[in-house]
Amino acid sequence: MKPLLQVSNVSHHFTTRGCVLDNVSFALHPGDKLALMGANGAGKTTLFHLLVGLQKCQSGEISGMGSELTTEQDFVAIRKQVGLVFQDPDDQLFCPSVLEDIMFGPLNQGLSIAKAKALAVEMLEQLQLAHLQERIASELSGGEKRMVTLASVLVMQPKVLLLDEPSNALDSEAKAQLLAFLQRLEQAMIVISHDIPFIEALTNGKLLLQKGELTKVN
Amino acid sequence: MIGAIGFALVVVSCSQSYALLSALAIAFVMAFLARLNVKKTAKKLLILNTFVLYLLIFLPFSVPADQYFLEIFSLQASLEGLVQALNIGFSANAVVLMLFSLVSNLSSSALGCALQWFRVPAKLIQLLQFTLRYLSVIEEEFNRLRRAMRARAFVMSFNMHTWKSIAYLIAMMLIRSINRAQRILNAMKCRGYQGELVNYHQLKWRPIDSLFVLVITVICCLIISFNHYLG
Repeated sequence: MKPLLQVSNVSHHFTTRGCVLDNVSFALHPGDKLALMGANGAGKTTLFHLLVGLQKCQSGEISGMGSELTTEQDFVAIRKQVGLVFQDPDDQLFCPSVLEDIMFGPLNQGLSIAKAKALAVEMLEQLQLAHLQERIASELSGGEKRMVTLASVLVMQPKVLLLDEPSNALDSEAKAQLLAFLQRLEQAMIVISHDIPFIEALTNGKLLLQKGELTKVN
Repeated sequence: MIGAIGFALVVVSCSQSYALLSALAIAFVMAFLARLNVKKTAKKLLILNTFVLYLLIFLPFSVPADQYFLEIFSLQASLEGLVQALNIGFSANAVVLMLFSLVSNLSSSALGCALQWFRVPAKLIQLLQFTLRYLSVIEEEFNRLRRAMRARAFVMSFNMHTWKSIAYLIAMMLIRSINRAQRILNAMKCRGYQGELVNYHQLKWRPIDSLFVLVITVICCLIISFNHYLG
């Protein structure tokens, strides 16, 4: 089976922090739900950014959907299939209303306004967020913001989800709701989290990033 | 938006008090119909009227006339100057109030769409939309930092420590803004953004728009005729 995402011998270093990724390799296959663990500053978010081309890969190879990703155009295409949910929802929600924020991705995919709106409304209804559609994104609660960011990515129907600390700052009820929703999703995903019970319940494999090295753990 | 611009042009071209007063009355009616928040609107108008107050104080003393209604020491205040200041006040309030009534209720994307129709460059529209969206965020960030300063016993006073602290506050806000802007751009790129925002609103001419244009035209004609015949 072809991997959805493949990372081969990727290394990355920062002038201030030194080497954060040292010859990292792994593959994500359909059905995989991997947890990416590691200490703060270990390079987990950097790895996510490399996977969608937000940071340039310094050495090694990254492939998505079977083809090597090198140019910005390759990454523009892959971002339509790989949805990244940011750690801080405030970094992701930028439109005046929730509905407009969710329509943003589909419109960039070239859909008509009517079709994008229909998809956005449908997605909000699926996530039981329809009552939020006219609300101002910056005035939502933490849990609501998290669900809206997820909706804004899922509406693009990605094949892979990259979730950066999705349970961060959520109360137990909101966390349980998010977990139940993520468990129902069929997409392959990589989840960065320090919340062990959350990732135990959600994922079927774990990757540990430590001192730049990535290892698979049981 | 066209209505607001048309009204503004007519009002600023008027010079007679009756016409300007009627324009102000119409603007008040429009504000009432637009259900503007009274407290917020009054606060904004108050800021505008502090400038008008300066005119009211100084203009009567600087406009020469044959007759003067007040004399303080050797300074003489003319009625013409007072009327001129009042007219400026009426027209400024009328234009601003009408602008609030017709434009402030528009969502930023609708405003963007309208500006696009006026052929305003896309980059400027994006800048305006992002500014509108992030003004409240900048304010929140400022308040958060101010709270953090106050929590450590900071009290504003006229000394080097205060100026230095304010400079740090502004610098920190700039740095945070740049970082957040970069993160938002990344998030937008992840959802397919390639430099162009797609407008969510599509301007469609509806019968109510025709009616509105008719009403505004009649209002403008009335103000012009008041200016012409009641002068």
